[in-house]
Amino acid sequence: MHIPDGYLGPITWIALWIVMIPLWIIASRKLKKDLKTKNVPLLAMGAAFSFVIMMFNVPIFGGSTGHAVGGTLIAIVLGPWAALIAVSVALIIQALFFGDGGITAIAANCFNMGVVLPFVGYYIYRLISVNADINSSRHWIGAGIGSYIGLNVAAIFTGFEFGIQTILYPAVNGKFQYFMYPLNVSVPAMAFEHLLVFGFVEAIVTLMVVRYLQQTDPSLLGLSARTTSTERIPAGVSV
Amino acid sequence: MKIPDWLSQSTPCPCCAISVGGKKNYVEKTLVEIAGMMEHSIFSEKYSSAKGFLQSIDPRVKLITILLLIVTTSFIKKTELILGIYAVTLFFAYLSKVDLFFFIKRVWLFIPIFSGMVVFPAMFNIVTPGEPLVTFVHFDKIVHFWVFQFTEISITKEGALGALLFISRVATSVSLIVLLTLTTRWADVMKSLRTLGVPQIFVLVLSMTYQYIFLLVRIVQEMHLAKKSRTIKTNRTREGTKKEQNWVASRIGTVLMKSYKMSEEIHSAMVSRGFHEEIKSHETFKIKNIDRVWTVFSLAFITGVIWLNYLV
Repeated sequence: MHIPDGYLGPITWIALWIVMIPLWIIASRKLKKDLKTKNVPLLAMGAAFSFVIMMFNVPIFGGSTGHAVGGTLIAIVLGPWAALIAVSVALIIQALFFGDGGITAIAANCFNMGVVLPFVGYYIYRLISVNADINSSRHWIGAGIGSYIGLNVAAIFTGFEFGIQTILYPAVNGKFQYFMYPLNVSVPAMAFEHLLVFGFVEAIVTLMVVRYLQQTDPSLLGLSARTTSTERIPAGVSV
Repeated sequence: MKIPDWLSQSTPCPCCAISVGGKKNYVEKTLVEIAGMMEHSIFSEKYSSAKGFLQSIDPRVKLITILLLIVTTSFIKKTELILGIYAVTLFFAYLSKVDLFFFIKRVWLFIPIFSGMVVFPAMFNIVTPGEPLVTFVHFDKIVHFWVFQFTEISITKEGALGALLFISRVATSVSLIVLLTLTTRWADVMKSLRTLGVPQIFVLVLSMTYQYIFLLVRIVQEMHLAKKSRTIKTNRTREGTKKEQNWVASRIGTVLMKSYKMSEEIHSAMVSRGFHEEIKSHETFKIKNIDRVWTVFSLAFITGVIWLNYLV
């Protein structure tokens, strides 16, 4: 889902930078208020974790494997605004140092994977797990459903951004300029592979990690809820 | 005294190169590749410490001009101009003492796998109608497939030209960013982001993340090695898959717990060394004449390219 440079025309990527800059500012203000000095190492580790999670290949049916983005998982543990920053930082490092995802497309990638994915996933999780006991199965069921839907909505957004290129930049003398497939191809293509394969990888990873955390360290799952209710992390929270 | 060969050779991570009876699986290969890439391409500073042309340019000036070039590439719609930018990129890679073979390989290794696969069907008349170059099959009636309808399968001139434009734009953009990171120490790239108006707190998180990724990659490698050295055979049955999934999930959970714990320790370490929200960094960069010359050259080049694209 990492969009490289050259796929999106200037109108699309500039528009997404205009959307992302205020979101980054809001996110850093929120975190500064909530977490104080703690935010720097916490976000750095969150971003490093988000980078590393993409290295775990999960076996799925038919002997194939796929990896997760982990956006919903980070949002469940650190809160959606922290997830926005953590995933953005991981994506910027990938774009700058690994050539994975474009420079002009940084805002587009951060929007799809850092805003749409964690926010959709997180709020579906909250909706399902609201008032649930910490050992309740609603936590991992919510995490699974949330991350599955979050990833698919993000994939559909990506397919939409791809597809509108043929409208914004119609072919000149029959020669296409940017991404070349129309909406009725790009959206189903992105949705298809994510509904059938990557969505399940994301869901399996998220729900199993949430189950594992419930059994081993439930305080991590309560963390984001506590942060929003008391506006700061109690000094005594430790692992 | 002469250092023996085995001591002077550096492999990505010797511990992971141990292969216990059998070939390495995909995960291990990926891990070794990432670790190798990080250590060799980024941490080694082989090219960024070389005495080449781009290395002598102020990192802030270099960052801004190269980003401007990438943005320009996105606007340009003439293939020959994009190929011109690519040629200039290769020329400056050469002047900066970057091994051209390594440079081209690093950029082109992944392009056919991703962008090549994306653009390949668009070369055919089914997606891009036009003047056929090569015709493979001709049908007697109109064939309907998904949202497409066609009477033959051929590669069109328009499709091939569009694919060339698309691929050259992707390759040129990737080359430019790779050239920037090869010729600049990553700490300098991070510092230079400040001049673009990126908030200090963001830059600090970025540079800390960058360092801790390496540590987490090590932890993940050790987890894989620990499992491998205790496993005799993986059975590919249904139960085997379930076990494997459980293992992956538990390890991701463990990495998450470790990261969280570590962030608290790092926080305590930072606070005990005097960290309190405000961050001061030492700006040691100085604009020299060569930077002015480079700025004038890049701006003139960009203006020239835009002029050729829009006005000629």
